[in-house]
Amino acid sequence: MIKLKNITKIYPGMERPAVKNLNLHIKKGEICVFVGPSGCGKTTTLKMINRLIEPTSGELYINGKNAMEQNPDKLRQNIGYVIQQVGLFPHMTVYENIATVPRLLEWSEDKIAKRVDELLELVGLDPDENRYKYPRELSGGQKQRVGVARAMAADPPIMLMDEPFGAVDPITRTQLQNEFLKLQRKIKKTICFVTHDIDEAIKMGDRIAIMNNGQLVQYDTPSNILFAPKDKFVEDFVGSDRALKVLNLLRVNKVMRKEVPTVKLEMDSKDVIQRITDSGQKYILVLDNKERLIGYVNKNSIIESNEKTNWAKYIKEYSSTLPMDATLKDALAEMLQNDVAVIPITNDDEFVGTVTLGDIRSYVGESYKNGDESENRLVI
Amino acid sequence: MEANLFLKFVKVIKTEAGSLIVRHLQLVFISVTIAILIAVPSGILLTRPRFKSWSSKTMTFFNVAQGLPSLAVVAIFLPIMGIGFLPSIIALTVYALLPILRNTIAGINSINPDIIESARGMGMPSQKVLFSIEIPLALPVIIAGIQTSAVVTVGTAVIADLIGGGGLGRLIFTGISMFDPVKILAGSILAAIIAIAIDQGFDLVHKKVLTPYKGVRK
Ligand SMILES: Nc1ncnc2c1ncn2[C@@H]1O[C@H](COP(=O)(O)OP(=O)(O)O)[C@@H](O)[C@H]1O
Ligand SMILES: [Mg+2]
Repeated sequence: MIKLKNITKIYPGMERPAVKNLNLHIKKGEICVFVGPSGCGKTTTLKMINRLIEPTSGELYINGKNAMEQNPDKLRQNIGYVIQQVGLFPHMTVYENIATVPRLLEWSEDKIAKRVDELLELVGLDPDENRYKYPRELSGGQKQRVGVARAMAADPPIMLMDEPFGAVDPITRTQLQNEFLKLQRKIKKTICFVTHDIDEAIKMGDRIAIMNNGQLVQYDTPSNILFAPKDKFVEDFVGSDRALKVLNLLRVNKVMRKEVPTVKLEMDSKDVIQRITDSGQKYILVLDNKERLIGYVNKNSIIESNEKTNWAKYIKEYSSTLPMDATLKDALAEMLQNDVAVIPITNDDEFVGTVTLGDIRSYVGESYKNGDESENRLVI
Repeated sequence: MEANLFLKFVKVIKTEAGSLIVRHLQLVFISVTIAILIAVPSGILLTRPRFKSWSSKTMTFFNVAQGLPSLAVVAIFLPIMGIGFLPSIIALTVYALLPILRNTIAGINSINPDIIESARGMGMPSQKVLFSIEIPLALPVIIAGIQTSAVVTVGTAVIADLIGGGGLGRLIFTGISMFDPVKILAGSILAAIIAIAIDQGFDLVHKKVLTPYKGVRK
């Protein structure tokens, strides 16, 4: 899909190349994450792919075609572009921002309106509520969502994202990452994703390109980067806490318990108490008839209340849930933040299981044992 | 005595001021309009990559020019252009250029480069970037430059009478030569009122028309 051949960039007046002899092949439908220390040439590489920066030498092929021979504007209209600072147009509404590329492509206004709503839904924003807002009226996370929607407006096969979640708070970042991974499962774009955060790289990448001083050091799968680092630089960049980094690689759905005792709202209190007793726990998760998690309820509070039917008012909300695409690291972070040992997992609001602290510990332990240490490979 | 002076003041305004006000407004309006037509496009041109290197030289030149007292400008123009309405307009235009030019350049250069980059990154042709992103975003600053220019020109236009331009300067300079403080006062007050009115008018435009997106809409 994207092929870089011997790409070099020397900025005018600079001696050292910002990017040197880069060879890279990014496959269709994959997320390739560029990662490396600040100033190693990630942004420069990314901007050469849509020719915001012209390479000093080398060849660039996109979809088999020589990108250097195409009209740069036309080329860019087929490549989504998201940057850290988002760069939404402040004098245009959310609608007009998203409509930018479709308007350049001269779509009919009807088609644009439909597409805008569809995209807003896709990135988790209510179209009616947000369509006519100005960027100023949005939070950082919402802006970033609009930025992603705008980049996807004309359904480009390729997206370039330069530290797209770098400017939001850690909780929003985790949320945006998970949403984006889920989205990517549907849209299957070819994505170049820049970050300086190795945790994010491991989590987001199908492949990771580690760069240093303008050169590609290793281009490999996340688990190979973790367990078969090519040299000292990669090893140091990954850090000594590989066991913790592995948590970025493992999704909660791998560890999740699916058969979890739950109760439904419409059950009466006797049955609820019975279920809790059977489960051997002090509390139980409560679902509605669409399998959505409502909260949990304590056995004691129902018993003490002495009421037969109206046990529902003792339901307490759950402080945190995670989607299926979340990593074990996300789960662990949630547990520590909220001081809980169990995290419910949802898929499109539907409750699908739970992850416990004990499960994470034993799963990671198992993975290490199964993976032959001499080969340093992790079985996932 | 005081009542007498006041009556005389009213009389001056009634009998002489009307046509002079019109002429004064003509001087200001025409010269500022020409200045806009010259300064806005040149300002934009000076922010394009090809001419960017010239922009600081141009600004230095105009800053020095602006430093000259307006009387000196008039003195320079007198031998070249002669006297009359047209030379007055030309002199005032030169004087009105700087604030507009400066603000046009500053307005465009102060746009967050990330906004421009994301526009170009989406494949927006550079002309479209200029007209639908850069100019709209720089417009409040450009208009503020026009505001400054217009207000200053109201004052400078008083001197235009020295080279036969007419306007409220006529009242003031006749007043000076005839030792008539009432005329001087009438001319100055009227000029001040015009300046304030123009300033307020622009403020209104800023508040009501420009940048509604900067506040939270209801
Ligand atoms: N426009 C530019 N002119 C000159 N040098 C630049 C320019 N942009 C980036 N550089 C230099 O090129 C190197 C790589 O920059 P960049 O690609 O932005 O790194 P990264 O995104 O990995 O932090 C850095 O040393 C940076 O200082
Ligand atoms: Mg960068």
